[in-house]
Amino acid sequence: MDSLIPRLVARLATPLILALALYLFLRGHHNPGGGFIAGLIAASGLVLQAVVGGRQAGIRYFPVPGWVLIGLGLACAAGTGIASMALGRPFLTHFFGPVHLGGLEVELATAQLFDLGVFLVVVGTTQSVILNIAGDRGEAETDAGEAQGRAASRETGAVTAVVAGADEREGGEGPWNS
Amino acid sequence: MLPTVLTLPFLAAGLVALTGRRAGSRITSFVPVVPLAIFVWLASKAGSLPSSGLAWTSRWGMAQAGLELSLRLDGWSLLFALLISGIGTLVLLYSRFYLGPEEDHPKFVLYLLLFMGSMLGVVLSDNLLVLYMFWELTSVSSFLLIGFWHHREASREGALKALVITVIGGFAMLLGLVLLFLAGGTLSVRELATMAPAIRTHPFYPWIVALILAGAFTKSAQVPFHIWLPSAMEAPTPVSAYLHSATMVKAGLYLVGRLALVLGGTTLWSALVVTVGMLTMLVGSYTAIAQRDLKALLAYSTVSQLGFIMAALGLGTPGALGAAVFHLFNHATFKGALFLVVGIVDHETGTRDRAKLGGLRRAMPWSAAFMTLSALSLAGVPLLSGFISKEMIFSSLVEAGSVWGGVASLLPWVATVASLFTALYSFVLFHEVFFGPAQGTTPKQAHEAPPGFLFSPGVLTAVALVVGLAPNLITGWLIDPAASALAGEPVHIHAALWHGVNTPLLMSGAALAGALVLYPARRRLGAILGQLTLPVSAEKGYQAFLNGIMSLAHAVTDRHMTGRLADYVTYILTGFVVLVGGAALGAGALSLPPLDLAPPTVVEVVLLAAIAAGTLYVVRAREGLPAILVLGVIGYAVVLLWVLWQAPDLALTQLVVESVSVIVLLLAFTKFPPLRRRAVSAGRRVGSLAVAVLTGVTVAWLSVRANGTRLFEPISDYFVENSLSLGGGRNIVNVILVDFRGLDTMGEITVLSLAALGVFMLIGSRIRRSKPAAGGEKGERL
Repeated sequence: MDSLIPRLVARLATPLILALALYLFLRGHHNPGGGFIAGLIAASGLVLQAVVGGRQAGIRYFPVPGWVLIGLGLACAAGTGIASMALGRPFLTHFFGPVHLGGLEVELATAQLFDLGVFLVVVGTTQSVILNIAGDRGEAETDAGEAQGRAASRETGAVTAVVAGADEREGGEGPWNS
Repeated sequence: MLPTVLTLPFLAAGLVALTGRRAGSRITSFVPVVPLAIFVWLASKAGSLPSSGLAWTSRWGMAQAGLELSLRLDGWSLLFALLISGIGTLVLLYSRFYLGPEEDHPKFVLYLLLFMGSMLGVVLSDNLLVLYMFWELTSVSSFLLIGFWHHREASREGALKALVITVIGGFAMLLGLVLLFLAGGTLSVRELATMAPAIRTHPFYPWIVALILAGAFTKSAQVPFHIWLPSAMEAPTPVSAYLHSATMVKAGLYLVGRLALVLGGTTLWSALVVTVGMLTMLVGSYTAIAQRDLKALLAYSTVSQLGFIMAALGLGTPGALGAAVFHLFNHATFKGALFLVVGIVDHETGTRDRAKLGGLRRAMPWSAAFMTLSALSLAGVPLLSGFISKEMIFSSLVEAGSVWGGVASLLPWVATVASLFTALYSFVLFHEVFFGPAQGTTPKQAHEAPPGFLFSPGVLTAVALVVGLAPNLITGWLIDPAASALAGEPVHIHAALWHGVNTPLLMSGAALAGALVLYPARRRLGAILGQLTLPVSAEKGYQAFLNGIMSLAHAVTDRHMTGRLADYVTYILTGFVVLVGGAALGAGALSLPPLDLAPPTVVEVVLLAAIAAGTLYVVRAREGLPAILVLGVIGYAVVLLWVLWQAPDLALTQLVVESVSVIVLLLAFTKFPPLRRRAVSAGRRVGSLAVAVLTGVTVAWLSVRANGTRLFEPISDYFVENSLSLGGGRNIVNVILVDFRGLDTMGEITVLSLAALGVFMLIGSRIRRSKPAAGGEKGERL
């Protein structure tokens, strides 16, 4: 899929998608949005790069591996919880209130830090799952597989169940009983 | 200070794990400082320990579940902790010479430190559940240490055998502990001791005793569970000396002693412990004679001596408890020394085979001296430590025999016969190896070990010698407090070399004389006794058990793990219908409640029709690609429904989830083999149809019922009211996610991370591994 138009679109769209994610994340506490949605959207922006330019392009665009994001996210979420324990409150007690920064008054909540953890975990998970599944397989191989499948389905035309054929190898050697 | 003692080995293990690669074999020279520091601190506390012990309780724990991290150091714990840290220091020093420079020192030291920490945990825990946790940790570290030379099959088998037997016993013990908690309401040993009368009359009492003793007997290698100990001799010799003779195998003795005040004093307890102990002593002693491998001989000797101490603990009188404690200490020292000397012999000559060794006293004079003194102590020869404590147990056995009468009057006889065999193999240990005629050439030219190598067995032998000559040096501050902790009353043992001519002395004399008489005929005797063990083979039972487990697991797995996705979905949905639908039927949920539903709008009907049509298409689809795309369309139709019903957060989330999952499915689709249609029998089709229809009906019915049923006020009102005031946010959904239900979210993102890890393991590693071998990704094991 290495053609000009998708690449151009992806190059323009990804920053917009990431900005949208940031926007949704920041407004989440008061309006529709939040860490989960924002994380998924940010991840889909990164995935767009991988879909258009291949796995390597996706990794080049955002070279932080998924497990780093997952680890940071879990640490962030658990950290806010443990921080409240350190202050003598039950695990995951949140605090909020206005914060004065110079002349500005901003409403902040520790829940947003927790939400940041959710955001990071979701981005990391989605990114690492998709990049893992995307792999580095050539397109040709895929096409061949599909053609084969079509031929096979024409041969056995009888009414039947649809099966993802991984289990169809001789001796029923599925991934679970090896 | 107690928690520091407990965590120090673990911290050191962490440090070794971090720096080990760089430090290499040098690390073994530094690490003995850790147990030495613990030993010194413990020794400084020894004289001044209050009778209730030092206690420390952490704020962490779940008191309502009986789980509390509380430590206690009393006399009995102190004795063990001193043995663990003291012998641990010596064994680590010894390992520096024992392990060659090419061995993985950091790994060895790491496992040994893990064991040390776990074993200290066992003896310092006051809470029995915490004790159980450390107990199992010792089994795990023992597994790792026995399998240290994992390239040898025998090592792996020995490690597995030890693990399987001790963990099954440990599990029985856990059940026993749960029953004990139910009977006593607490798992603190100290509190349990105060309600011992109630526990002893509780209907669970026989079960508690049987299950907990099963744990103690497996750990301390009592008949018929003793078979793991000889197999564990595949471990490096320092490990055998440390875990499998001086400390870990005594954990069972520790527990029996610890619980004597709670569970002891009944006929059931005494009969069980004494019978098993004496039987173990007898079987271990005569089996030892038949062994050619010196370490196997020592292993059976350990089994036998553990049985001896176990029996003494079972007698339960203050005198017997004191004797047991004293003999336990002596056994740890002289048996540790014997193992270490055998390790030196093995190291310097290249063999541990009795038949190939002989006349080594000229080449290895110091080893000969240490082995001779320690073996004579084991044999119970006067002027050495083993003699005194053995006499004391004998006198308790004689006393029990006359008090209980009946079968119990056989106890002194059994003990005498077993002691005869003990003396016999003790003579073999030093006489055959060091004094007898040289047996040709050994694999290596024998020569004496360097002083550092000899240091550790030397220290242990010296202890056996000094204690034998002047037992009062240790009884006052070490043995008496330990025995007092077991008896629950002050105990003063009278350890003296000469008690006058009495029955125990006659028993010792008879055993030693008999051993001397039989010594020339030991090989014939060994051959006869070796055959004697065959019909009573616990080994065969273990193998049959292992094979049975494996074939059962295979049978069960083969039957339901068909490898067909359709089957798995059928299981899941059938389970759902039976459990949920069945429960609903059972609760009489068939009647239709009054429904208060809004009339459907045209848009809703159209959307639902689209969803239904799309679903039908996906089911009938012949190709995967369109099916996935239509699946996405169905998802977007659901999104529209959320929008209609004014749930923007839900709609937004679903929209993104649908988009991303279509991408994932499309990507994954290229990995799958093509969709194929497969002929299935008519019966199967009917079955699948029935499951599908029932699932649909159940779900639909549940939705209707749930809508028409209000058991209590919904919590959503609370969220609506308090979102801003308590959570500081106007978006209720988000406040629920991150604040009100924050713990749920925490759990969910953890699951999400694990899912990512799973995908990484399954697919990521598959890709990387299949790359070099083109196309070879079939049947990979994970």
